[in-house]
Amino acid sequence: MRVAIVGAGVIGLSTALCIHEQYHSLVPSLEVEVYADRYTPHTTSDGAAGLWQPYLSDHGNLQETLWNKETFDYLLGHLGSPAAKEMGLFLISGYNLFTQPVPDPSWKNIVLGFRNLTPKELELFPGYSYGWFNTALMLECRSYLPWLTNRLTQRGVKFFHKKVESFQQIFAQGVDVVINCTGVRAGELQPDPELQPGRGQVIKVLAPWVKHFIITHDMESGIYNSPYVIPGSEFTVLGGIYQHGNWNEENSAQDHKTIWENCCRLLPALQKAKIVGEWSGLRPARPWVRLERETVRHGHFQAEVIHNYGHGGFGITIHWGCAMAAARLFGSILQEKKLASPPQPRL
Amino acid sequence: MAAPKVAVVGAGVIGLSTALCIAETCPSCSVTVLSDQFSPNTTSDVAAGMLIPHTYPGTPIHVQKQWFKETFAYLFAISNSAEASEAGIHLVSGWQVFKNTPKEELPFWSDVVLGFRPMSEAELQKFPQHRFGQAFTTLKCDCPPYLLWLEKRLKAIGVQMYTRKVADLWELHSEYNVVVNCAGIGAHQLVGDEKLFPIRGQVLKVQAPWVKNFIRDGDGLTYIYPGIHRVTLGGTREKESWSLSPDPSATKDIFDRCCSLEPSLRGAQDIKVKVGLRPSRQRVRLQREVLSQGGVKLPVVHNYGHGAGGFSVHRGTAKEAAHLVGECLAALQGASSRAKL
Repeated sequence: MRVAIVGAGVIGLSTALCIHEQYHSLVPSLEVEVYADRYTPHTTSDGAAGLWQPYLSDHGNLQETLWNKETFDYLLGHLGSPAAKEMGLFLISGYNLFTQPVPDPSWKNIVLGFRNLTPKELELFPGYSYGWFNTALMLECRSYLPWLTNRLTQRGVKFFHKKVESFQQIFAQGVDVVINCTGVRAGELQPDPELQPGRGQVIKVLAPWVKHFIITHDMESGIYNSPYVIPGSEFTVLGGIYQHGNWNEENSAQDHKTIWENCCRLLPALQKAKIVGEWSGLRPARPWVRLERETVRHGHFQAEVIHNYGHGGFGITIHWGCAMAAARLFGSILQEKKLASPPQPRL
Repeated sequence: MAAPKVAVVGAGVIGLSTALCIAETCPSCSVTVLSDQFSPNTTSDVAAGMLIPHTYPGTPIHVQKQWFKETFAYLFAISNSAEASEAGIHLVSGWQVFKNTPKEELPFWSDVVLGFRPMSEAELQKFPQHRFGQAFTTLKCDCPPYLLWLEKRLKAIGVQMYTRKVADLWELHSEYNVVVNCAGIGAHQLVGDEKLFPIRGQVLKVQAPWVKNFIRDGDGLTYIYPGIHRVTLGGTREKESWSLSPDPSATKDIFDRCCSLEPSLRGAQDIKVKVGLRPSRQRVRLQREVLSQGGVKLPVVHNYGHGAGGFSVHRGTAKEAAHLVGECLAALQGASSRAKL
């Protein structure tokens, strides 16, 4: 039973790990392979600051809220372990700022210590009249992806550096199941008009005195189009760009100016911060995550694809819940092929 | 009196902030700072500089609260300005955790810091050995940056600073009209204050830039305070110990205690060990005194004995000390007017 995961961002690698962890002992013939044309540090995941935080509204998509919670709880459980530092995992507190009162988010009971901001705290942020404080997690992919890669390598998972041109190409090589974690470029394997790039740009600075994340919201401009400051373990990320439909991965001078001016207005001390990098990436935006099975005809055979893409700007936030859901779909494929039976009670 | 001359003895956080307050409130004064040590070699440089007050048994609570409030407001404004990073002032959030529920659940300063509230059950799960906790956001003064920033402000308004060991306050009487004693633990010898005693504190300053929150055990003995470049891990409280030499077994003990609060600290790099002697006293000595020898008088203002709480009240006590200096100068002015009649 050969499984190929296409895509080596946070979604691809975590799904590969989840599948291997759950099924390698149940299916002795299981071979897991990863195919990607981009590996860390060149994936979309690598450019993200790594803050666990879903969008403000789940649009009634309770399943995604559950996957977010599963991810948070899974990561929280790893916090005290010796692996945390290597994973790039740590706790961080911070602020969400608004110009008007808003309803509490779906994730208020998932994060730690969620509360509204006091008037004194709001004095720190002129122009904002309402906000939240909570403690959440950071998962820095430039550490997490290598950590996942090491776990996978230890488990004998093979990696291939190549661009998969079509599902047929992979099935023709004898792969039985494909897990499609191709993110923003999933449309190249199968057209999907719902999937669009949500272009973002960030400036990386040295501002080690900043210990909190600060995310501002402009309900008119939409998510991520308002300045944000996210301190990481090595540098601080300044952002606030979301351009729907823009495929350009080059940095824009205009966007740089927007980010810099807005963030310095938010935190005047940033004017003294040293700029150490700039990056643009394409969030794989979709009205909801595509996480489902599809049977694809391949010559005389039926082949199975599990899609797991379209995580927008919340891939890190939702990744483990999705990986487990994808693994469950894989489990049902195994059952149908009678390669694995449901757990039997011991006699 | 033309340009009254004021000497401030001591260049830690108390000496420098007091000198600044005096220069601000008395623009005609000529202020000079004299100290045998300057940053990075003062007691203040060892401290983490967290704004979490120490309670002085001998000072009324409302006075301590006022000092803390003034200090917090002053630093809050700096942290919010473009100078924050140069001044080394930044906000930090975190938790104070207790193995046993404390006698007073609401400390006197709970409404001065930001967002003070009890920890939730979910937050407490991170600390299995602790049963109760408080979450809040406060300020941290990183040293040396804060002291260097104070020195820069002082130079800009014409305050001179000299390295000089003052053995006796009286030796300054011919050069200065008023002397302000901010000698910290040095006051034990300088003015023979038997009520002042050291409480030795050893700390580790480590590199662990992923630690963004502070954690403090309510017993005050174990704490993790993330600064701009380093995290301060503490500590010890050894009463009457004058030793400034690092103790290797204390280093291991501090590290282990902190790692049990925050396991990821096992990965901390470049561990530096520092020792400071908290200038401890039942109450801060903040008062005027007139020294006199052979008919000659020297007004003195004392501002020392802040123990573990120097940073938390420094601006408040500096302002009060500056006020007392004003009273000394007014008295001198009055005396010299009477002498002219």
